[in-house]
Amino acid sequence: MNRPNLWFDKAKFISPVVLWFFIFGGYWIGKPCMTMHGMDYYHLVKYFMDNLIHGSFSLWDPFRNWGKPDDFDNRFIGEFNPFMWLYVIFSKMGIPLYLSFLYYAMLYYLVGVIGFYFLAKRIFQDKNLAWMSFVLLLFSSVGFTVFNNFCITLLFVPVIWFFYFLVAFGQEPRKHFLLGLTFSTMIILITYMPFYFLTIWAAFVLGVGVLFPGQFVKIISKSFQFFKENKFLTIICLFSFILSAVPGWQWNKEASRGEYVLSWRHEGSPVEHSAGVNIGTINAGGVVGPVTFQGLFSDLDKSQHLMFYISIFVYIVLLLSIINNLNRRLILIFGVAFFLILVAMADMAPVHKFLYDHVFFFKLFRNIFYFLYMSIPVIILFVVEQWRLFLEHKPSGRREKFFMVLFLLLVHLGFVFFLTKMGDVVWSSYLTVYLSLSLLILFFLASSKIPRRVFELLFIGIVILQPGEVFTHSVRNSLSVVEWFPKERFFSHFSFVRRFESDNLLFKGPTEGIQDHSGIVPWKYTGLKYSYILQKEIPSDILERYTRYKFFVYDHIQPMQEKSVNFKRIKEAFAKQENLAFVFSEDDAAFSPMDDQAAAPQALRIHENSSDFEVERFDVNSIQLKTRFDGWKFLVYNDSFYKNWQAFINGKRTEIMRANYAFKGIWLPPGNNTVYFRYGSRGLYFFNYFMLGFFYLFFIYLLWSCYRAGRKETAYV
Amino acid sequence: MFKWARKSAVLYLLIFLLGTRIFDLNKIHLKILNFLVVPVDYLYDLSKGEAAFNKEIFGAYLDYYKQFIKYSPHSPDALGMLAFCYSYLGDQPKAVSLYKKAILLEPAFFWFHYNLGALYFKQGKYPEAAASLRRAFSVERKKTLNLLFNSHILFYLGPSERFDFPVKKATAQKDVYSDMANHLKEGLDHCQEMLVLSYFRMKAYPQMLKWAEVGIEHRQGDIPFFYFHGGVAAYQLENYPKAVLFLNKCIEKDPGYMDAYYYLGLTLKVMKKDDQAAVVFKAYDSLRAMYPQGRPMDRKEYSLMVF
Repeated sequence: MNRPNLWFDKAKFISPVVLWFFIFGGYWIGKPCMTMHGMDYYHLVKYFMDNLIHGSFSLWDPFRNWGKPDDFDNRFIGEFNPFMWLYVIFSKMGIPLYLSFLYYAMLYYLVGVIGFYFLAKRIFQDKNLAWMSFVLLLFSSVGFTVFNNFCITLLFVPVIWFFYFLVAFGQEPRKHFLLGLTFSTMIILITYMPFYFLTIWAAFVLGVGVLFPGQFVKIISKSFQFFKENKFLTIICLFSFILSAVPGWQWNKEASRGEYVLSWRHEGSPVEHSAGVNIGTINAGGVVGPVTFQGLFSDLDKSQHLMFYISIFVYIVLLLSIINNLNRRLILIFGVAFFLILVAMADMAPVHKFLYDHVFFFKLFRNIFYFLYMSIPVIILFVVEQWRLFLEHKPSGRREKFFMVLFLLLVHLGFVFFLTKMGDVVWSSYLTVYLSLSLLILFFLASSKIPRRVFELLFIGIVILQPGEVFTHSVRNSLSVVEWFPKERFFSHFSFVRRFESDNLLFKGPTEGIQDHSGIVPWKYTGLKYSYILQKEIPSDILERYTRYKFFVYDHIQPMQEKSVNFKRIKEAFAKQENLAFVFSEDDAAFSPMDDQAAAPQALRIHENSSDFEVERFDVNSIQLKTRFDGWKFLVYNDSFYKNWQAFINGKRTEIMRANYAFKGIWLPPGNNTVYFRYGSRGLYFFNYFMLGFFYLFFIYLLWSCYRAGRKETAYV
Repeated sequence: MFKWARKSAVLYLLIFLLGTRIFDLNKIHLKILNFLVVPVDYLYDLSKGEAAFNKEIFGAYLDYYKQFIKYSPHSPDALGMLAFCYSYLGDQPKAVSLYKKAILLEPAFFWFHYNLGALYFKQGKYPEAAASLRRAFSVERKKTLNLLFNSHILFYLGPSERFDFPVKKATAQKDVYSDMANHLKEGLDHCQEMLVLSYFRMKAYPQMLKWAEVGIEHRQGDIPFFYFHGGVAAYQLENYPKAVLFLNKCIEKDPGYMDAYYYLGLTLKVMKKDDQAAVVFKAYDSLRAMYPQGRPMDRKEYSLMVF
């Protein structure tokens, strides 16, 4: 007897998803659709995963800005996220790399929307309302982040699941909920700026504490009871939580030292932290402008990348809800959504300024509009709760029914009038309003004669109607792919000589133009401090000619101090490629006397393997050389100097000095040497590989626990 | 009694009231306007005939100006650009009314007067065209350039390599400024020509002569054109020696200026110099045989300009 219901449930769940994929069908078959940060994330994921499957856990990027730590990029993608392997699986299936990334990104988004269904089901304890929430979110602008700002999707998915597990654990503390809670937190912690999540979490917890004090205390005590009963699991979860905070903490520590520069972001920032942002920069990128009140209704057929968009049905529900009685749940959800919107408004409202001044991590948020995206699921929950309350009105008798119909007419026709005033409204908006009016009248007057299931389907049809049209326009209007920084990224390919092109070609050159380039892009510089200063002080043509070559072998060195650095002299030496390296070291013993007085006037540039110099091995984190010179030589590796690098000569550790202001320099003894440069310690690599495995195992264990718990529930039923 | 206080309507009302208190509406409008800025380069290229008409791109500009005017109804540059778009789409009455509005708000901008004059000129409304073009001539040029350079609506990337704009900002800005000055000079030339032609078609020969002489005096633009029209005006005013002088000068500057021979022949004939007139008419006939439809370069067409 349940069989038809099951099929109906499945069909109604799958059909909006099918429609969603149908609308974006062109993208599936390869129409370029990713723009700006969508493209960036493709490159980041590709670079990381390509290196990983070739055996290197990328911690250093030797191809950009003469080498830079990769921590920041890894934070963007959350390098231990097991879902990222979907990209590898798809690419191994022979799907083009661009599409492999896209399929991974779209599926990951879908995982988040499914999480939202479960969250709504937990909150409303009603499958239909959960389904409505699911559809509203699926057809909101959050989905567009997959194509233009994947960072938001990466944050959104674990946050949704976190709240699902949090609510579930609050309702009934069970092991798999705690595991899920821990795992989603772990994913959030390795993702870019977990503080976005912290803000939402804090608003939610504060709201629950204020509005539901009794239940709050009860949940806390119930949780403690659970922890006591499951000490081992609790310790494992706590350990996992702490462990997953390590990469972020490490990056935070590195970024606070001031050696890492993000010129486009850090300028004017009041904090040392390289991710710190000046409030003016944040305000310049607010949501007001791209999002306007009128834009919620008008010109939707001209949209390309919808920043804030929800089905027009939401506004109808909000209007209808004016007669609903408020409850604490409504106030909580509304409060959180309103707070997030206020923060996203940046300088348009006083909230962000206050938080910027008083909460340290608000100085690290550049894209404050992320909160607007994050507010969308919360708004949807509010609307669905209002919808539930509205449908609970049961007008009885002719008089009550008359007033209900009058109210429906007033709201809907008033809204139509408002839309006509807005102008340039898509046809489906009007159709949605008319259908909503007809269906609601039918619902309140003849609900007993029509099966509830028919109403559900029709209402969902109304919900999807306008987004269907708007999304179709949006896909049609979307620009072709916009190649932005960084360009095509490759792995482990070593060349002795970097490309040398003028600044112009950085913007206009071939796809791979930006890679392994002797010039850098100063206005959007991401890299190390000394390299940044060097490019400011030395004319770019001289510097680019010098940095074309990755290795120089010198006979003479000249010590130089940071406080008395002579850039004029360095410039001269670079221009003439003099046989003189400038060495910056606190340790005087590092300067051994040169004995070769009859040295050549110019330094030896290495442009290929030879009997004296050979590159034996190379990956993004390390390089191994073989050298054979008659006397002592000073080798400068034109890859940025950074304290985390280690060098070994014939297996023995040797000091890396900062040479030629921004690069690595070491002494080479006479005779045969095996020189090995490596970023970070072996322990660091062990830790990272361990974390990869740990996240993966934890995820499998979570899936298994959920499956087992699900089976138990089915067995009880 | 407090039953209504629990309604969602109360919450929305409170939020609305709070919103009006905490949101800075002026700032919001400014922010939206700043966001809307798009470079005017495409329309500029279109006006110069250097870009093809693209319905979608053109439509986006049209929407942008409409939107801008919704937020800032007293923005003369937005009104002017909207007028330009309507004129391009053939809605001349709307364009005229928008240009008039723009001029009321900003009388010191050369291009509004110029475009309004050009519109009237195209419609054959020569007295109105002459009035607008005269006003265009009288505005202070530096003011126009400053307005252009500081306008968000007329934000122009210019001939500098556009992708390099963030890198070579200073150079690009310098190039843009000199480009704008060159366009203005070109506009003034056209303005003067249109003025002369308007008076010609109105048969207002004294004014025609005056403006042709101004063109000659400033030694700008198409000098043979001014000499020719100066000569024609002098001929109509029966100032034959002046007509002969100007028409001869025209032929000296441009020996292929066919109509100058014709008018010179007429003038000489009136002055009873039949032999000379016959020679001139002969030259005219031979040129006429070469260009039965008239010389292409003498056909003057004036389009509306962004700047």
